[in-house]
Amino acid sequence: MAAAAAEATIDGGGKMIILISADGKRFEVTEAVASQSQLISNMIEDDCTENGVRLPNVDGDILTMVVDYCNMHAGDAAADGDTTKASSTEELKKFDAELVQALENPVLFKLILAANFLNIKSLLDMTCQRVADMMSGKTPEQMRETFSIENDFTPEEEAAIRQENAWAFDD
Amino acid sequence: MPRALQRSGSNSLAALLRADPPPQAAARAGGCRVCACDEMDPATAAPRRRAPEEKDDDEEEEEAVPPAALQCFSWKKGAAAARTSGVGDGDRMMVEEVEAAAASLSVLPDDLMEMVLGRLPLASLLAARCACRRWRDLTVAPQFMRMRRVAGQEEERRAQQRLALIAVGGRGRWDEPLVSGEIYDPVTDKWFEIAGFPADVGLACSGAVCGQMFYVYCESDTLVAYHLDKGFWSVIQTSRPPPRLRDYAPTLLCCSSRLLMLCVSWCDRAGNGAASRRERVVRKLFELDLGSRRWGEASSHPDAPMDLNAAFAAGADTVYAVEMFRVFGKVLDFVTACRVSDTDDHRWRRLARNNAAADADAMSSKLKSMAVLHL
Repeated sequence: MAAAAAEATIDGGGKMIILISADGKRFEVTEAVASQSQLISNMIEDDCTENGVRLPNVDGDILTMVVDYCNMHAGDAAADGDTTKASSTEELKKFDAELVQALENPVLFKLILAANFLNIKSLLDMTCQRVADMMSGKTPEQMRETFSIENDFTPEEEAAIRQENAWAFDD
Repeated sequence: MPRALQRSGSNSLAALLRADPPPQAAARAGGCRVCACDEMDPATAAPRRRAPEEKDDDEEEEEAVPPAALQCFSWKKGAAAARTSGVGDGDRMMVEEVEAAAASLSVLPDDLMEMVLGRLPLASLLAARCACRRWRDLTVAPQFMRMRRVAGQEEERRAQQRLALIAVGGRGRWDEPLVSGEIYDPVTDKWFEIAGFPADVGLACSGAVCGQMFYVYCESDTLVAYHLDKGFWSVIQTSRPPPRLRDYAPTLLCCSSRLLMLCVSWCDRAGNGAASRRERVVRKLFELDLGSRRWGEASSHPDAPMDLNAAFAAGADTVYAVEMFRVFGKVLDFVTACRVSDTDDHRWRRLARNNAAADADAMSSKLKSMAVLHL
């Protein structure tokens, strides 16, 4: 059976799952780690992970980050409400902050798409919040520039909409 | 009934205090405000539907999975919609196409873009609305506004659980300074009494919550503090309090976790001060170093203090001041701000204003009030 190769068990009793990125990189993770992705969690329930899970929307670099993130947060869901984990919660926060802070825009956007595709809510929240934080306090021009957005308003339209909302950002 | 409300207006203190959020609320506070997206559900449900047919054929399974997954998760709308058409030719093509446009935020499909826009503070949301058509269309859609409203209410409800009102001081029936205090708990909708001031400190002038302490500056220039979690008062032994003019009430503020006090005092006399016969008064901002408990002068306000009832408010890292007074039958108002940070020199700057006070009468300079609104 081809399935046997991909299906290794480790000491903790957790089954291992192989994730395969768009560019063919393979990641071996425990079920507990992988099932933070609602997508994969559903696949595990349906028993269709034996041959590895192909993720055609996610390339290797991004999947590396996602797997790192899931590894860090694996204990998280299990120990919900456990106050003894306070220190590691701090560490997690720091890890999360560093993870998103360092990212270039294209990578960040891909990470959002991957988090959405894999349906990892906490990662999706965090990455969307990062973009929102980057937008905050900027003028429309700065937003266009930062995020390569084309101004597709006609001059009249733009004047009108700016007038409506000007109090928010015109100094 | 709330005895706090009986306290005489001008000298009673009320402050909003923010207790530590309960652990779960804290975890959720950073969480998603807007992504109760139904749109995710079909996607996650999809693999389930597909499963039975695939189980028949072990050999082909590896080939069958990717296209199936792709169909389920194809980005539905917006700029990205076109990309799903490349799916048939294999995964690589899609990846490349994404690459080309990847630097632009327009790679995000509408539902994700909504999640991002929904997290913006109001002012930035309005700015985003002016950036391009797609963002405008997304943000003026009724469902977006509804989603934002719901998220806002939830946040408010959550925030409210962590808020309480604290009221101390005031004057009693015979004009005597009151030493008692009450806290209002919005969860139980009840006022309960807390201990009175620890010593004879005179009338309470101003109070502010800073960290886990509620500080009150008193007429006798004594600083007392109520430990919110431990529930007792103590007198804070500080260095000699800054000299101040009695006509102007001192104001205590907490900004950027620093404890600040605004009061009016004499100008520093210059070293060769023989020439300056007329001593001037000036409004000064002092900071209490919470470690060494020393008062230090942070900055002087550039304007001569004309308003006995100047109002102050603290934002995240800025102290705002408004002064109003009547000159030649006309009420003038001045709004100034001072950023409180390690790097700044705490200089006050004038804020542009629309002439809101044009119609103000003399009374309004006494009754004005100011609040910082987080949009």
